[in-house]
This record gives sequence, C-alpha cells and structure tokens, in this order.
Amino acid sequence: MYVSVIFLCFLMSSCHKETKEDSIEIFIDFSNIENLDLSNAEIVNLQFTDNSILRKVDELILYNDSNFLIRSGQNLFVFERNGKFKNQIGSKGNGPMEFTHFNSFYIEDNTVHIYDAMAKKMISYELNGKFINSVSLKDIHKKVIPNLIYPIANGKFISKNTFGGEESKLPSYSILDENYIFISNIKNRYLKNGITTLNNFFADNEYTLFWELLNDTIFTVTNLDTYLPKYYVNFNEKAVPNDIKKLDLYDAIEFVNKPENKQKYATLIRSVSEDNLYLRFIFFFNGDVYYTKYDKEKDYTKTYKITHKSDVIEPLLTIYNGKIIVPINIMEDNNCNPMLAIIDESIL
Amino acid sequence: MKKKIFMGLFALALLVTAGFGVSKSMENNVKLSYLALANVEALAETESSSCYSGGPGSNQCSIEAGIDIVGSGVTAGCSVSCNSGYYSCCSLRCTCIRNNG
Repeated sequence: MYVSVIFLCFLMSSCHKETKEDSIEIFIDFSNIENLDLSNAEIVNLQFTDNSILRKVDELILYNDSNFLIRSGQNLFVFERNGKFKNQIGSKGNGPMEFTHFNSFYIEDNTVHIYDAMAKKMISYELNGKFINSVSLKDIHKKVIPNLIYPIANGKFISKNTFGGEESKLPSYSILDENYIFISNIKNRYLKNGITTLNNFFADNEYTLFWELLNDTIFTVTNLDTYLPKYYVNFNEKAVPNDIKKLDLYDAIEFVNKPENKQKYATLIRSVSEDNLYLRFIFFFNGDVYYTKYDKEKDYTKTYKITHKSDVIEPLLTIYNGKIIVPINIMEDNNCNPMLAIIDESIL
Repeated sequence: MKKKIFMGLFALALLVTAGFGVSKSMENNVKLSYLALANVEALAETESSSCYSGGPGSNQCSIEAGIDIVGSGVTAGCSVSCNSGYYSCCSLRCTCIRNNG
C-alpha cells in the first residue's frame, strides 16, 4: 500500500508538466519577460528600387549566408547579404515560365521552386531568376490538391491541402515523394475551412512540426501518416478561451480581432523551430512580438519582448547559424523597404 | 422646386448613411460582423455576382490576403477547390456551391 502511494505520487509529479494530450507544456510567464532591444543589432537595409518594392516580408530565408530570399505577397526577391537588390524570381502571368498564383516556394541546391496550386505546376528557376523548367502536377493532384508544399527530411515534402467545400472531407496535411506524388495523408485531421496563411511548418532532418492559426499547440508528424501534439504553449490568463477556439475559425478570428481582445489575449504562434537543445517560436500580444526560447534539457522557458525604437517588428523570425533575423518596418519613411535586424542568439 | 429640394435632401441622407457605413467598417480590423458575414454567405448561395473570385463555371478560386489577424500585419487568405457538380466561390469565405443550387 505504502509503495503504491509513493508510486502514485511519483506518477503525478512526473506528469505535472504534461497536458491531457501528453504534450510538453511551455509556460509563458508574463511577469518575467525581458526586453530584446534590436537597436544595437546588425541592420541590413533591403535596397529600395523600382524593381524591388516590398510591402512587407511574408517569408524570409537566408541562403548559404550570402543571399536573402524574401517573399512579399506574390513576389519573390533576392538580395545580397548586405541588402543590395539582385533580382526577382519569376513573375505572375499565364506563360509557361510564369505562375498564375504563388502558393509556396523552397530553395534547394541553388534552385528555387515556386508552387502554383491554381495551375497545378512547380516552376524551377536559378537563383538569378533564369527559368529552368516547369513540372505539371495535373495528373497527380486530382482529388486532394496541395495548397502549400514544403520540403521535409529524406527528399519528401509535406503539404497543407486545399479546402474542398463543407461537404468534402479532405485531409489537412499529406506527405509527398520527391516528385510531389502523394505517399500518405496525415490521419484524423481534416480541413474545416478554406483559410490560408503562410508560415505553417518547420522541418529539418530530425524534426517536422506544424502549427495552426489561433491554436496554442505545436504538432509533430511521425511515421508519415500520424501527427501528435508535441508542445502546448500555456498563455495562462492571456490564452484565448477554449470555447472560442472551438468556434468556426472565422468567428474565432473575429473574436480575437476585437480591439478589447487584442489587449487581452496572446496568440499567433509562428516561426517555430526546434533542435536538440531548444524549441523557439514567436507570438503576438497587444501589438508586440514576443520571442520564446525553451531549453529542452533544463525544462526552462524564457520569453523576450522584441523592440526597436518606435518601429514595427514584423511577426516573423528566422534563425540561421545561431543568428536571429527579424524584419522591421520603418514607419516614418514610405520610400524604403523593411530592414532586417540580425543578432547573435547566444546573447539570450 | 419642392420636389428638387426633397430629392436633394434624400440624396444627401443617402450619402451620409453610406459614408457612415464605410467609416464604421474601416474602424475595425475585423472585416465584417456576423450579420454581414451571414448576408454575404446568403448572397453567395444565390448570386454568383457575390463571388469576389470564382463563380459558376469555375472549380477553384482563392483570395490572397483578406483578414488581418489581431492587427499583427499577418493576413489570412482563403482558397477552395471543388468537385464536379459544384462551383467555387471566394468572397469573405471560400466555399463550394452546388450548381443550380
């Protein structure tokens, strides 16, 4: 009896950081947040020319420490490491070298691939913008159509799929082979609406993660057809209430968008990345972007509020070789592009 | 003359009302209220003209960026791809509507 009680206590204490879903809880302590002031960061001004006008930075990759690939809306630009504009990649149109709709892109071996879900094709370009080829996916993407395609380990890809209407039960995510042919669908997760956002996945050779709008859980993909909740971000009293999360996503967005709720709830987990030591992500609260770094070994979470003078921090963050890269919008000047602030992550 | 004055006042009232509506809708980042959403959906089911993109004869459509999320600058768009027997309709929501439905 005595042993049983001790065993039960052990079980309870060892599970105190786990949610019901067996995910690891990341507790955001709003009473203990440090400022991450980017005023002393390395700044890269993205050159503003007639051919490189960026509304904002939607996706950002630093490739080989020598080129920034920046997606802004339906445009993809290449800048040198010092911010000098090099070229644009591809353009919108109905020609064979053009895309009708820019859904997603990735870069591999100096080749940039732009996925066009409307025209069902993958167009490849050299980094300097020169067209290489276009692969039609019409014959292989019929019932389930990827909306976004991103590379994961072993030459495979993960897709977030296109909504098929309320009467159609389609998988949210699928795994594709190197030719974008479906290998498997992620079980038990189905599309409920047509809402699309960028910044949904993180993948390297070891980890494949995905996250969703207004959802505080970060999921992992295992065995090509199974997903599991891996991390649960606990915003405590600043979490969007569960009954709101259960609403139709449009209604939930309307709720969090109310001015009084913007100051009340933390949400919009994005830019998630994981390695053997840390989980990192950003989130948005009351007009500010926050960066969280979770030490997996020590089970220790630290959160920073990112600031830069009076400028607007874009809720996007990239990590490259130990450097954090954050886009900043300069509010006073309309005739310049966003700039990039780069700091060494080891200071955090 | 009285008729002209009345028509003028009526036009003015209409403009003020419309202007107020536009100003109110721009005040809030939430694009439309539940009621307006319901109205648009109701329209979408009956009139192809309510589809911002898509409409009868199209099986897929998308809107790049429609809804700002919590004033962050991050926007959500929507897209849909429909089976035969349906047409796609992208307005505030992206849906499939049964042909002749």
